[in-house]
Amino acid sequence: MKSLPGIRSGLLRHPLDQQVLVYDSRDDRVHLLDPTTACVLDLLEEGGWTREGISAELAVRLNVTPSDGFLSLALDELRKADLLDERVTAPSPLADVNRRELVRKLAMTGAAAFLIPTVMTLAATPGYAQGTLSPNCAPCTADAQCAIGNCNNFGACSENNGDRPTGGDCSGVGGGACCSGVCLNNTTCA
Amino acid sequence: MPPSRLSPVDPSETSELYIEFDGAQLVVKTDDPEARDYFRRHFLHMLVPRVTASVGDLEILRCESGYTLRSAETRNLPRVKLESLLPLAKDEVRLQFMRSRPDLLWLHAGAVERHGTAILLAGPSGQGKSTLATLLCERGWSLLSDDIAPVRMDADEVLPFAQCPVRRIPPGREVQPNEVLALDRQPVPIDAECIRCDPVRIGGIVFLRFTHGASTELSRLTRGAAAFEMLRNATNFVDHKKEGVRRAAEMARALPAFRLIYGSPKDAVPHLDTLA
Repeated sequence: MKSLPGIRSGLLRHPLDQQVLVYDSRDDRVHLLDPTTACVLDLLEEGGWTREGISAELAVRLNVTPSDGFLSLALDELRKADLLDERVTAPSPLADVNRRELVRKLAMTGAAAFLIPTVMTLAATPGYAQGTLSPNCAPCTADAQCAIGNCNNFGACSENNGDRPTGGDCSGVGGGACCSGVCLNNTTCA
Repeated sequence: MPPSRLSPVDPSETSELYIEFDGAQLVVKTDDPEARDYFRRHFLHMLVPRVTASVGDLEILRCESGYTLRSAETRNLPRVKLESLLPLAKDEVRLQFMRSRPDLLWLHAGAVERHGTAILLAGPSGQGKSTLATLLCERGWSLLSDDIAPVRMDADEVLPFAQCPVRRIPPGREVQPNEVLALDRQPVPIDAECIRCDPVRIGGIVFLRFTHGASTELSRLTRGAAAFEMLRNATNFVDHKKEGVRRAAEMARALPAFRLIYGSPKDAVPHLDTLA
């Protein structure tokens, strides 16, 4: 019988009704756990449970038909979010086809959609996020201003470092130098 | 702040404007009359006649080959048209105040007030924050902000940041998601009596999702989803990290949160009316 993993240290949890908001200080990421995954996280942290025991306990707490599928999916979600400590167990990620099959089986038992284990993850931006993002080819002074996430060497929101921004000078170089590809009146990038 | 209290400007001189947020001022200096007028229009309700507590300055100066924009760092922008530069400079005002006030949680949201309670309208660019905020002002709400909502970390209170709202001009056809940011925009002047200039208690948060052709649906969010969405819309999470997560959870417990899916701003506004 495969041992169950533990929970990684350094996680800060905020229970919000049946969901849990988890902050991972190592990666500056925030996760929202659905009720099922939140329940599994609690039980793993308690320790001392077997797979069968957790599956049975989940059925009681969530008021569903017992199924190992809940635990398997929840572990898979926690693993993908990197919230588990699996130094003593060998992780076995669910293949996509196995995951889809498990979800289908759980749905057939009448499990509500909100009980299907899911973890939503948000990676925090390292700097100040732009209030209103600039579109491609707009002038810029920092990456965070651009919807595309890159402010190039010419001060244009563009992935290409050679592109000049809207309103930039294209005298003598033509539209090819412009992010938009158009040099108006042979002087100004459209 | 009524414009008549501001000094008249000689168009040939370098002039200064003082933009105030929560009692502190940013000095904007420019020798270009068009730039000066732009800042006067866009920050009309945030201008004050003098500096009492400076947070820094921002310069837009003409140079031989174009313009120089100087704030936290200097950037020479040769031959860039002023009309392309000014929106950047305007956003630099927000960034300067954010840098000066890392104690606040700055949400990407508009804020409107009625009966002493504020509703935050949150969401990424293009979801209609400015459009809905200005439409609500036409229905008797007061404006605190159309795009950025500074929230206290120790109280459910939002501070005003009443720059002139700017809303996108609908092109009269369905717009693809990747076209939204490139739509033309127009400022929407708001009368001074419709501007709220002091902090207001927050009564709720609405997370916006604009989808062309969608019927309007206002639904309550779970507390977990509300906290998660607040953090998704927090522009200075880097200043708060675990305290920001704690604060979002706290606000989610205390405040009702909703998701508004809509395709027509005019149809959506009556739903928002019911929240205060």
